[in-house]
Amino acid sequence: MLPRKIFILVTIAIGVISYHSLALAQQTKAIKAVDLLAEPTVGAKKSGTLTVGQAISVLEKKGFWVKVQSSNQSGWVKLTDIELPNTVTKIDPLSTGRASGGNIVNTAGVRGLSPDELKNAKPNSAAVDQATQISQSITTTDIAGFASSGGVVTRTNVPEVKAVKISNSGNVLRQDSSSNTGNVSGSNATINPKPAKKDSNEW
Amino acid sequence: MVININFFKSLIVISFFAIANASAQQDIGALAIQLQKLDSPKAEKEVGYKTSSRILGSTPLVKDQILSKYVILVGKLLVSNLPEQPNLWTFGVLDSSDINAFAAPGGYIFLTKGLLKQLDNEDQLAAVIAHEIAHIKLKHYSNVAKKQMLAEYSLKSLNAGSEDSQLEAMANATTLILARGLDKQSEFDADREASKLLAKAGYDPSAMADVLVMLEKNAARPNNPSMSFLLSTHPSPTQRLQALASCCADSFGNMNSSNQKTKSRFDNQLKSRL
Repeated sequence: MLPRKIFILVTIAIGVISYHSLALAQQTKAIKAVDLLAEPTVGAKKSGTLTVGQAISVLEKKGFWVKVQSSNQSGWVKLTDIELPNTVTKIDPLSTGRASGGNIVNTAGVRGLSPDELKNAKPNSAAVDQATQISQSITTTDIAGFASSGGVVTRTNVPEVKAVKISNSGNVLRQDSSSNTGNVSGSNATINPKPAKKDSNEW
Repeated sequence: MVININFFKSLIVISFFAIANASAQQDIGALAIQLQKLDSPKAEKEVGYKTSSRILGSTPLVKDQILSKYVILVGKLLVSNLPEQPNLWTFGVLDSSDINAFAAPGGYIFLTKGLLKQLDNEDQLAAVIAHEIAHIKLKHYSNVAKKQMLAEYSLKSLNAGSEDSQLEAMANATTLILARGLDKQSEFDADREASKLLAKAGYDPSAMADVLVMLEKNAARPNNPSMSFLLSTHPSPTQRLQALASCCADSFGNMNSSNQKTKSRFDNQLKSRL
């Protein structure tokens, strides 16, 4: 009788564990044939390869990089090398934790903020004056000192980036930065009839 | 001769429509000119002030001066690369558990405490502020507010009010846009410009992507009330991440994160104070 119970428990445990790992790791596919890298930096050691359409699971994201696993290999690729699965859970408007018309989310005095509260707010210009006063008390000398002590140094040769247009269906229309032909490529093969608008707001 | 007759025929047709629409067109043209006046830097500042007084009427500022000054320093460091006077800009921290940030025309930027709690480093703080700076620089709110005014007012009804009441109406329109959200493209544009601004200022441009990953994680938590406002006014973080990676991963993916030098001040002046 005992081994049978253990067998059932182990079966349940395996079931629970695999359910959780499936729920955690998002399944998707590669859209470019690229090397998997050991670290999320260009020039890092190669740890495997991906082929177009290869099934992968997303393990982690960092900046423009994503760590993926496929069969027995794992490593980092650029976000643009894979199809990004959408993870947003639909929010139930009935359980947002807000009392109707009230500001208080819970009794600990933590405030939420809703669109209605913003629209119906009684203007508080004294608070704006206060914010302005503190902001203006910071001088250019303070800013220079802050930049210098943090080692934040202005870059002069920042490359230009092109605007990315989104189709009505929500697909990203990708402007291929590696060529100047104006061709548009993308995982969803949507073609942008207009060339990407040159960024007119030069800062 | 044939050409001439056709020409005169066209001219008569055009004149007919021109006369019929003359007064309406004049009105719309004059209205557009009037609204253009509401777009001057001075008017924009006033609209931003009035809009901000509504934002701060809904949520108070935090009292912590050290935290506030730290956020202001990062904001002012970012705008010190822009042609506008640094004193144009006002930054503040809202005492709210919501994960959100607001910008109003004329250089007003407010971040919630709930958002600050989710950040890991100064580069990410800079990214959030840079996104709001981009909305202001690209005149996202002013442009939509003007369009709304153009649709809602006639020249007569606009001129019936004082200049202050006109600016008040613009501020109401701007507040409504803050509550309802901009179009998706404006958000993608703000993410991209933010990344660019980070790169120029010396921060890590991929911190903007890090912030979107953070938002994605928070959005994935079922029924997370602190994200409902932001998600109702923005495209999904995944879509934003995809758009941002498409434009910027190749150009900006390899710049170093600022460094360890900002870590202790981020921990002391922000992280430990929330």
